[in-house]
Amino acid sequence: MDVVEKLKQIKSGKLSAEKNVKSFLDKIKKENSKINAVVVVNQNAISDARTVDGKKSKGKLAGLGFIVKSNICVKGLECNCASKTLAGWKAPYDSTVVSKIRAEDGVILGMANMDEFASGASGETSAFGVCKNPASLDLIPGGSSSGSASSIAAGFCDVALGSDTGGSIRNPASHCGVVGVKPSYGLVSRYGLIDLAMSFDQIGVLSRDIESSSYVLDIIAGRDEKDPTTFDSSGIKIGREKNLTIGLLKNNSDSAIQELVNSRVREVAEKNGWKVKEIDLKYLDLGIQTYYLIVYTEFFSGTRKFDGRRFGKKIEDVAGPEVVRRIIGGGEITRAEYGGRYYKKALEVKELIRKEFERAFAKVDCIISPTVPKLPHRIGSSISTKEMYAYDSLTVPASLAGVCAVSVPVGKVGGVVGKGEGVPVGLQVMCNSFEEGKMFGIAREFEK
Amino acid sequence: MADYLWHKISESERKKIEKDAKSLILEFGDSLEKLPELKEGFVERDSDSREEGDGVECDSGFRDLMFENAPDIEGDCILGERGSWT
Repeated sequence: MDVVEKLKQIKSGKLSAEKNVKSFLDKIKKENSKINAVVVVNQNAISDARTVDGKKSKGKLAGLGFIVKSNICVKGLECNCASKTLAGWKAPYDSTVVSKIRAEDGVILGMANMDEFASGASGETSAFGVCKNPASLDLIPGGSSSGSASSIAAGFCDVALGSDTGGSIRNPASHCGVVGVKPSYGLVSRYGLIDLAMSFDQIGVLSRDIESSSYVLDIIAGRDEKDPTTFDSSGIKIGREKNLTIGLLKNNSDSAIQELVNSRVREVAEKNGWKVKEIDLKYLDLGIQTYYLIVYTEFFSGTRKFDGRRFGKKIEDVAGPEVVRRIIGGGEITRAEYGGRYYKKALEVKELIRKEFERAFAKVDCIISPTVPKLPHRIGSSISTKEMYAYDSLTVPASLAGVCAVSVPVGKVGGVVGKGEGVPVGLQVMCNSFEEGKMFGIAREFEK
Repeated sequence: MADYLWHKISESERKKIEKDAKSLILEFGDSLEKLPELKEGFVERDSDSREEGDGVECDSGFRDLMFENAPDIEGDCILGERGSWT
């Protein structure tokens, strides 16, 4: 049942907000110990739900249960970014997205596990224990919004919020077999988000289906005076797309993943009468290098506030290896001897990639690729930094271009697990900035 | 090669991370330097000013939580640092 259907039940009185919230809290209590998706439970969730039930006029999210990534502020709840740096730190205010959810009577169930300070693509770097993939417990769930994606896959909530810098919503959505949306840069306010890299960070939605993601994104979108990068939203409505030209992106994904994506694209295009055109994006092979040079620099800058003086602990003293790597790398890039050379160059390439997308969208309505080019590894496997960063290679380009993208599950690929069930695979639909309605319309066809 | 599970870093590992991070950013930076010089892009917006208004008033909960989060307080003050400036 999508959230719109559930809302009808809650508003008509067939289902109470309290019953909905309690069912999620019971499930979290019973099953979270084996998944470790939720790190903080909101002790006021039941009373918040009762307040919703007592209202005569209920909001657009009445009684729906939300789990929020641990880098998005929810007043009074521990917002620790899965790091010992901020262990015990309670957010003193609500982020804009959480204010909007509360204003529409959504109920916050708790805070999700994540990669430490969103620095990771596997869900393994959390200082509070690795988050597991409900689709296959010995494999990584992906990251950095690992707990948000796992919570949806495990049925711990109706909707989860995550943040996506270079694929942190789409990547775990793909590995866990759920829907994950990275909105266009500027569609959703980041006020109250603890940043990884401010020129890419976007707050987005994870859910079980396109309808639910679209519905919630429409509510949290829009200009916010507290985040000057935001734009007005003209409303997000799922489009009914006809006469489309699909751009199928040339890339070097694992062959089993690419075959699955190609066959689903052919099938859906034929059914809808869409044209399919193979496209090549120039500079795609420079995406990872460009992205990480900017991320290291901005992360270094953004983490200078974690000096342990006013709150928390000094980040360099207590953070894990990946966070320290990014801080050291960012410190190095910003040294005077480089004179901003690498950062400036990365910004130039970012602009080139944005223009390349612009050119592509003049020829095609959307660009489709696998969300992640390879299957998830086993938790605790030894891999190189470049191998880890390669998980982002197909999600980073949309982040560099600032366009919108969604990962939608399209099936499973066996071989790694070898137990017949296989690993979920996500297909990524990218559309031009602020064309979320069209993007959802295309992605929904892959759910059928 | 390393696993990515969180763990406390030893001094020797910190040095290795430092060396690896520097070599990685040099490699990444050099791969971009092969491209010709380009101009940075600018995003044009319809309006570039935001309404300041009267600002946001903090509620008492904000103050209480800030003090709760502080590592060291003295009366009405959060102690940022003691003695290091002298």
